Amino acid sequence: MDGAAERVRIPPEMALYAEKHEIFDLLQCMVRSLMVDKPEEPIEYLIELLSRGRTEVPRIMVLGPPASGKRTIAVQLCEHTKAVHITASNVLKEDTRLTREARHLRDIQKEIPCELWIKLIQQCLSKVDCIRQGWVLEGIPHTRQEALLLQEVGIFPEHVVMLEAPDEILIKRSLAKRMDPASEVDMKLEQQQGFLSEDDIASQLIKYHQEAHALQRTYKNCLKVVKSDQSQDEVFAQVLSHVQCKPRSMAPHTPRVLLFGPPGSGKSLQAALIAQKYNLVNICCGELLRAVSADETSMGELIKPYLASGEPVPDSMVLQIMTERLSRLDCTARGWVLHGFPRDIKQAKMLYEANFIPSRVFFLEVTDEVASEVVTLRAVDPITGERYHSLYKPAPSPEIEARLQHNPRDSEDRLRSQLKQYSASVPALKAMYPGALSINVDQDPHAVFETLESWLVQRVTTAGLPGVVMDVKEGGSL
Amino acid sequence: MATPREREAADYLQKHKIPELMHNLTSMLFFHRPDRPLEFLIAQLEKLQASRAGAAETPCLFDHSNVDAVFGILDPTGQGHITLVQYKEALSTLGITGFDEFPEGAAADQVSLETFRRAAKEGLLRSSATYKSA
Repeated sequence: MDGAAERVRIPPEMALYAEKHEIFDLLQCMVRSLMVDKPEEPIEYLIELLSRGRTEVPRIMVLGPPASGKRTIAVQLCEHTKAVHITASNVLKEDTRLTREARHLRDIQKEIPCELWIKLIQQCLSKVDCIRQGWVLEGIPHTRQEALLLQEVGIFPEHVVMLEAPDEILIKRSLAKRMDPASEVDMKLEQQQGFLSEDDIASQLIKYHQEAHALQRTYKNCLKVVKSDQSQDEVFAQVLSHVQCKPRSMAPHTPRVLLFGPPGSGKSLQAALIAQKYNLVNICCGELLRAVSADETSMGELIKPYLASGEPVPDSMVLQIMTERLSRLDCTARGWVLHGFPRDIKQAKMLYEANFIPSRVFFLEVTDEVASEVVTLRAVDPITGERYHSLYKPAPSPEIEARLQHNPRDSEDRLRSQLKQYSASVPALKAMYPGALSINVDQDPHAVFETLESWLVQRVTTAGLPGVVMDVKEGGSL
Repeated sequence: MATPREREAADYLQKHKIPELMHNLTSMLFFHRPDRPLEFLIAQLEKLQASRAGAAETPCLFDHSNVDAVFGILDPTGQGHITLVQYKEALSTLGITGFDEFPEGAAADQVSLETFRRAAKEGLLRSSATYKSA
């Protein structure tokens, strides 16, 4: 059975398909909904769920201390997202058996038990408009207990905004609002708080602070704390940008990195660093070809004469070897970093047609002088395998110095023709990968790696967003 | 070990064969790679609904020709029968579990195409009938 598993090939089309249509998230959503609602008829339930379409509705909680401006933000959010605005008071406005019970309790000055309260919220959120348009819960939940109970019945937000302001400002604000019941929004505060003294407000705040930390922990995955003691527009802008960013998808992502650069630009080094850190498969075209030719396979025999004479191996053979290597299971599962191929636009198109579409492309840029300095002065110690450079990393002792060997391929002439070839093909390649990043590598290799990495990681988190998808499309339109 | 809620969830999944359902839907999705995955999934689910009502065949990734092809691979010389080990391996490759370990002809280590077809068909039906058994 192991032998068979080794030979399993996952066509690259499948991964691309999954990425393009966000299949992982779709299936995750299906299973999650099933688990939350546990319908008696799962098939009918799924049909209903799927026919509702893919439009993700907002599920937002706006939390914060009294007078921190929750209402204003929630109202603005609802206007913007068309979601249903739910506050403690409109949960109670409904007329059902449960709400009557709750209202009765409130009228006789008793606290509404947590379980009843959660049921009320659940009832409110399961209404059609909340399901279709999404909801914004304002000031709910108050406590960690409520939050946990909500979670238990399967109500969890996609985004939580927590407003924050120094206590003095909050106290001042609530006192000021009480005195100036100008707008409708402020009326509500007046009704709720009646005539609270400064002390009452302070005790409310203390109560809030006791719970705030626990709530933050409960929702730490999707929480954003916003300082509300700044201008209204500023607060809303921050809240909106948080609400609009998609939560990070849990879909497995295999980075497919392509490195371009002239000889001596440090492709191999950077590829090795990336591969090591992110556990990708490091594929150097030249090395792969030599490895294949060393094998006693028919393909190896075919390309051997080309390598021996220094002639370029025909594209079709290179592509065949590449396809074989890139579709092995380790590449599909872990992702790859490829360098030394494609060398020109023709090869790049062939790679694209074979459905190997990189998700990140980097051009390492270096001037010809630097490249030739790096390449022509480098040498290798045949005994230790250590690499030296007569300017930047001289041999530690005359003894080693004496036995250093220069690779005959690193000759000045050869390099010049390679550089010429490279610079001739770069513009077309750059046009093919418009989303690529160009990095000047005439700096410390680790600084280069940091830049590479920041792009690698930053865009992994936004996988599926237009930036990456566009790369694919533009590549495809060629 | 598990909390009651966990157990309840696991029971639910098992009762309605949700993992099998999701597995089949995913396989179909990746095999056909439709442009509109939502519509495709709905169509598959509707077929499943119809098959439960007994009105249609259950949707399944493999059909008769695939089953015959698998047999053909194992029997390249056209003897008309395969060994018991091949029979078992072939059925599990098709994703079938719980098949008849000792089919007709097992004693002679010769399983005929007919027997193989029948076992495969039953097994495929069982694995694609991903709804609560009546």
